[in-house]
Amino acid sequence: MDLELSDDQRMLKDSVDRIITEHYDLDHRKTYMSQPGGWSQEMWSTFVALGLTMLPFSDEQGGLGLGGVETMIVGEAFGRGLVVEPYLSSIVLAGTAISHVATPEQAAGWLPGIMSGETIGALATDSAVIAEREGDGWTLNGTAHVVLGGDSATLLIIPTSDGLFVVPGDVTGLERRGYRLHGGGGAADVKLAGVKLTDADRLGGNGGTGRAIEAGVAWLAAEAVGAMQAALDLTVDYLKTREQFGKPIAVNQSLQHRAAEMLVEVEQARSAAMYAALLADEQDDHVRATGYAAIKAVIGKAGRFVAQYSVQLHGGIGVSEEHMISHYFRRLTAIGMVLGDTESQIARLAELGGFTSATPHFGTAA
Amino acid sequence: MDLRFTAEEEAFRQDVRAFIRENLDPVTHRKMVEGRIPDKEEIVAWQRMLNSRKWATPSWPQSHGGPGFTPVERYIFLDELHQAPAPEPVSFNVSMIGPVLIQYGTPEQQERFLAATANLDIWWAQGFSEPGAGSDLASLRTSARREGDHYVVSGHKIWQGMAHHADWMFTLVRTDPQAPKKQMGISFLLIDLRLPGVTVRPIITLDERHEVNEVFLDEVRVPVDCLIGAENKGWDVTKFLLSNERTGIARIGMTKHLIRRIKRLADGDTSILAKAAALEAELKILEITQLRILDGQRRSSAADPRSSILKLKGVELRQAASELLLAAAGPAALEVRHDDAAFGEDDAEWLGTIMPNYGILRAASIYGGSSEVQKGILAKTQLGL
Ligand SMILES: Cc1cc2nc3c(=O)[nH]c(=O)nc-3n(C[C@H](O)[C@H](O)[C@H](O)COP(=O)(O)OP(=O)(O)OC[C@H]3O[C@@H](n4cnc5c(N)ncnc54)[C@H](O)[C@@H]3O)c2cc1C
Repeated sequence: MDLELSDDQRMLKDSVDRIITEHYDLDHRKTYMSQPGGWSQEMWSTFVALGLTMLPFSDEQGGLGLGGVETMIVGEAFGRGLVVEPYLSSIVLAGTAISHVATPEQAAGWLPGIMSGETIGALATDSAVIAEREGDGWTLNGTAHVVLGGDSATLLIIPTSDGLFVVPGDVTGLERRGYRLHGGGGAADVKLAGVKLTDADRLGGNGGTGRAIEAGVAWLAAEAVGAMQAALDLTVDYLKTREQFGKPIAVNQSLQHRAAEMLVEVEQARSAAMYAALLADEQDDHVRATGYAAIKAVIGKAGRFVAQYSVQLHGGIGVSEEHMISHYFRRLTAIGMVLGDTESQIARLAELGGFTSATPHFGTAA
Repeated sequence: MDLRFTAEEEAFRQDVRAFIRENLDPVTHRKMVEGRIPDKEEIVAWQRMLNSRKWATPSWPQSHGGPGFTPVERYIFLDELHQAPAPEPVSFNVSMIGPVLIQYGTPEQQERFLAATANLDIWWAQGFSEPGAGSDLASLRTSARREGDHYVVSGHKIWQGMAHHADWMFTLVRTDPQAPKKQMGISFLLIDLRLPGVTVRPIITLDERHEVNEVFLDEVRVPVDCLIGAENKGWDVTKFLLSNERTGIARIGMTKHLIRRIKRLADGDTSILAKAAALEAELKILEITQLRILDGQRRSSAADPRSSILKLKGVELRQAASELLLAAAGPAALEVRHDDAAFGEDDAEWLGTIMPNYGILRAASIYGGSSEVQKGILAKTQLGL
């Protein structure tokens, strides 16, 4: 066991933290969000130049071959900055789907564009699409809802009745209704009506969206930690500086205790994010499935607690669009809701039997 | 970063498990499984069995008879005890007074008490709280005045856990009532409970059991060689003791044991099982938090104030599990049964303790630093509030 960052990881953290601090305050973010697509090409290029978009992909695929911990470091910084560029949708979700399910040849076709930031990918995690064989091609019909990043994607990965398909954003028969999401970023509802594809568009390896969704959960956990820690820090500062009744409001024990409860939840979320990062290499499907269910459940619950009480402890200013807290509130709420909310994760964990079996640790001899 | 235990640590876990399985008396084990409290003799026998491997004192250094565990080994050891479940070594002895004797005791005091404390030849009680001094411990009033080679001690202590089993009590007394600050006039004394003037009286708790007591001290003459540290410097010793008491064990294994029982009693009830899963999710993550704090302890032996997180969340989940177990058992759990009732034929799911244990577990957020006190510690040390 060793839970410290390595020197390289610390350097990565420093440089990503610096970018976020310098280029991602509330005003910057507003400017980025006002650009076409709701995010900044310039920031995206900065992330590409730093190598962040290559980070999780293996050396053979042309990536940096870094792991869950490095992704967590980036996610945490992005969470603090409330980054709106499509890292989750393109790199984490679409990228993981391709790198796990595509044949090496297919990966070599699609991943370079994803890593260079020119291709923007998205993965439909909630879809009902039928793929039918027609001659030596395929025809896709159906719909997908709330495809994260689907509004800006140039490449959509669509799970169907017959495997995952990679669908170019401009293919005939594809209709998209893109929209902005509360909490930042965008999504689309997608309709496929007689979309014609070939075998080359069908991801040839084994597996579905499972690994990609797990990677997404790990990313969201890290992002949530960044947002929660920042919200707690702002709240603690506010308690110390805001005066009422002639004293800083921090003298009130009820508020101190609430802040301590928030800290407990932030630390739990941090543990969840670390666990998520380290679980990425786990080979046992059951261990990963139960682990990620617990992680997302805890992140959702802890994030909501911290979001709600950071607003409460700020008083009226906490609900102002002008204050960062309200943005953390919305992002944390959204994080809790996408890729499975707490309730559905708990139901899944229960279905999987949880972590502790019903049988005694060891039998009693009496 | 790596969360995995080493092969040696995994082997150690198997070794502990095998030791418990082979050496824990089956009757004691069954009582623990069913949530009954073992008898004094059973607890003593088990602690001596552990002590035969130096395992009764997991946190003591090798130089003083401990096993020299790393923080991770200590965690694994306790986790196996909790999950078995087997009795923990008596905490008053091994987590409280033992480390104090090692840190502050004279060589004579160490010689006189340490080995006997480890082997439970002496059972210690903790004589800190008073009717007027609970969370605000330093306001204690029990007085000790020096008369030649003795302190003459008078006062009223309350809530002494298991003092009816105890031979000695470590106590806080006020030796200087004029001291400018209330923390400054306190001394740390060891009192032989057989001395004249000592009366131990039971307090029956809401589980209808006898676990805690009041101790009345009426002009008890305590030899001065029973003073630990310097006179009027008892508060330093106390802070040291309390920080050890809180060195971050969330008792996750105990909650796992409750969850096992919940799953058996749930009998497929999906609503209970979903609630159990919700607890398990948080418990799994708390395990990671526990490991993070252990990892920190490997780098620094200073008491980690983040341990308060473990106490708060650990107790919250354990109390929630005991409540869910009550729900899983249903109204049948209301039947009053006593711990000394005969074992049932194949009645492994003894319901008799579920309601009493649910009740008495409320105390876990009151003693050892109440949840409010823990939040105060976090607000102050971690948030600067
Ligand atoms: C089962 C059990 C076993 C025990 N065993 C022992 C033992 O072996 N030896 C021993 O010496 N003592 C023992 N205790 C005593 C225990 O340490 C005290 O109960 C504890 O310190 C709390 O003190 P109190 O009960 O006087 O409550 P109080 O301190 O009066 O607290 C009452 C309530 O007020 C809250 N409160 C107090 N101060 C503050 C504050 N500053 N801010 C916010 N909230 C506050 C508390 O959290 C609590 O909710 C035991 C208690 C129990 C219940």
